[in-house]
Amino acid sequence: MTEPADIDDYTGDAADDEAVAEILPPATDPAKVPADQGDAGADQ
Amino acid sequence: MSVSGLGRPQRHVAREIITQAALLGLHHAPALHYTQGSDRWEGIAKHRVAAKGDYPRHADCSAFATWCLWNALQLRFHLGDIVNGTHWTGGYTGTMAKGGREVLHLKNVLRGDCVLYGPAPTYEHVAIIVGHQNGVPMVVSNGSESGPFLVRYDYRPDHAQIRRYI
Repeated sequence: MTEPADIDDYTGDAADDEAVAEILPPATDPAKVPADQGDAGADQ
Repeated sequence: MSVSGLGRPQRHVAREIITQAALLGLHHAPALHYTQGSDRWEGIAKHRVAAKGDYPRHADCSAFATWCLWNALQLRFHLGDIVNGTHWTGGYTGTMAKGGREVLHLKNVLRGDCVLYGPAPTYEHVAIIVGHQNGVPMVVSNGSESGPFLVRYDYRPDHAQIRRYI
């Protein structure tokens, strides 16, 4: 599937998300996030 | 048609489940160890169900994001593996980049979407959207032993694309 996912097919979903907006905990300062170690990649 | 084929009410439920799974991992960060070993898929392999308060003890970034999605797409809605295309047995950022569909516009980002980082086509990191803070999409990212972290989606300068599987 190559067509984008955010055109027409999701009308109203954003309103649904906003209606139940999570109370997220405090975010981490990006400067304090250790370097990501990467992804395991394809299994051999 | 949505990526998953789910209707709007079901997509809403799916996003809630995925968000709760990601936040469960976030809240248990000390017990969730980062690994690229074969046990990174234990969240799915050992059937750890977020709704029961269970979470993987080992995962890398893609295994954690896939586990979050699996809780909704497979456990709740019994969908096949539309994330990695491996019958929920594995995958990595490269397979996640082939599944789903791209979200082109940042303003349309929704909970449960995944942000891929690094160079195409295989990328090197992925994190999952759990909501917005001050209008900025926020992700839970499990990229190191001290994670997962809740950070803004652009905490890395190499954020490359956002994909949707719901």
